[in-house]
Amino acid sequence: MPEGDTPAGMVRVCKERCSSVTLTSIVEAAVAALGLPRWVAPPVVALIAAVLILTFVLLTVLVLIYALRRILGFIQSRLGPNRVGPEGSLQTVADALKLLLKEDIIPAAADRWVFIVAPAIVFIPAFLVYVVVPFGPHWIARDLNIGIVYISAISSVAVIGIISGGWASNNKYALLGAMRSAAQMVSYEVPLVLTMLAPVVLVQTFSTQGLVEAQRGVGWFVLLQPVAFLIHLTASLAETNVTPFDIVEAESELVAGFHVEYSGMKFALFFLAEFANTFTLAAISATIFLGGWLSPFGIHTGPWWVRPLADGPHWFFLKSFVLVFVTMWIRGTLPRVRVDQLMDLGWKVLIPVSLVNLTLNALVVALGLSLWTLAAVNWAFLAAVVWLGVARRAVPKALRASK
Amino acid sequence: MGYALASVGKGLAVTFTNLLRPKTTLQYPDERPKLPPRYRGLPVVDLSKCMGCQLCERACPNQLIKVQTSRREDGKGRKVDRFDIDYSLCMLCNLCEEACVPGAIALEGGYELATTSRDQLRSGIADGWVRPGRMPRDADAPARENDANQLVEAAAA
Repeated sequence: MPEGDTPAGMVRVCKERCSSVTLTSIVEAAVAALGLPRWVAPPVVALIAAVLILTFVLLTVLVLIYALRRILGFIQSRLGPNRVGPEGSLQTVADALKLLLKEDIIPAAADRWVFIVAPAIVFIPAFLVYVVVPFGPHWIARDLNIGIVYISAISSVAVIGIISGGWASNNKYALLGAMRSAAQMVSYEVPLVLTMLAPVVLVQTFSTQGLVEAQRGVGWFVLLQPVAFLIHLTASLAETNVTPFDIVEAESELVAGFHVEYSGMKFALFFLAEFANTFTLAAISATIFLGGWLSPFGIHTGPWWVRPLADGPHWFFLKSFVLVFVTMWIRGTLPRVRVDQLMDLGWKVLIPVSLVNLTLNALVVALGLSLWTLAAVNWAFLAAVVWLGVARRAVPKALRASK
Repeated sequence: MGYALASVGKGLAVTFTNLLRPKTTLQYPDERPKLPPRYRGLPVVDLSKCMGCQLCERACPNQLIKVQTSRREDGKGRKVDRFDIDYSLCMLCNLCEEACVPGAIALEGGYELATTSRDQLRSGIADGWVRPGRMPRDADAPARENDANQLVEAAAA
């Protein structure tokens, strides 16, 4: 590899020395000690990892629901829940218990099996994505070399669950809500994937761990590709049905959208899936654009008193929670868009901009230009898009002059 | 997109500063609102001032004030025997206060009226006052006419 100015398409992916103690080694040692055959170890490792991730997801959802209600309350000059448990921290537990104890109603004319299975179809992909999310330097369930492709493929499966839920409810409003939701999710998948591809084109790998490692040498991708980050954030908001894109479950408008007929545990699964998705997309944004578990101080390792500032899973969680906070902040600020404005934004603004962004980045990489050129091109593109938005004024000049 | 970013940014700044401001929630019942003086509340009667003219009884549009008087021993005016207000019907219209000549009845009894049964909303004289809230049941009082409970009991019998 040439020293000095690294060409944009040849970002070096550093590999650390693997530590000798991993979950696999512990389980293999235990299996050997218990005298079980060797093929028992991989399924046990997978099971333990799945249980750990499920626990993490459930705890995160618990915390996020409480945090959302408190933060939204504070933004709206009111206190959120503050009675159940210290400062209301057990409110979500109380809500979960309530949902568990509720009567599980299945409408008589509903498509029974589809109705029962739909929440699972929505929840399972939200949970499956965590297989490739890098929590820390070696904290990843499976570092697939097609990580990004896996993420976009798996998160598309949830749309099937939503349509199934809406159809099986035997309720025309649920069906309408499901159709709208499916349209929204499908149309915002495209800019989401295109913007995820922009750093991939730079790093030449789909692996999420590889993307994080690449940012160590190069700097966080948000600084190199700001347009991609902004569009990714917007598309993430639309994918998770967060205000301003929550026309699907606009509580005051479409009752509850596609999950209007659901009660009890099935509704809890939908709810859980929504919050798990929020954290998932924040985690992916943090991984791809904000450097994942990398420390912003650039410290890799050191003595124990430097460790908090060094790379580690705590930076991943901090960045993800900051992005989740930004999501909630936006939710408390912006009004809802109409469904036609939503489709307009997705197809007419985000897709062209993300396509041009990807083309520019790919051109720069293919021509072998330097990283500084790449950064310059991207920031110039951001300026051009902003200027275009300013120049395309909504109010014609003649009317404005009369004010 | 330029205007969109700028306006979103301004909105975010406003909500962020709101996040840090004090909240307007009043945590009832730990905190009560500070009511101004003469805030219109439930009617309260000071029987030391009442002269038994029954003008409030006539003025009340819901007919929830029931006053029974008798001749005083010294012959100067009336003595109030019973003064019943049915707070479940009161709409705080202030007509009784306007009608009262000596100013015995005043609408300054606050707003807290929650009880666990409806007959606790009918108050009589207690300690020279008629106030909303739980009051000692007057066991020797004569039966009131049109008492709902009595009608129900009579129908059940």
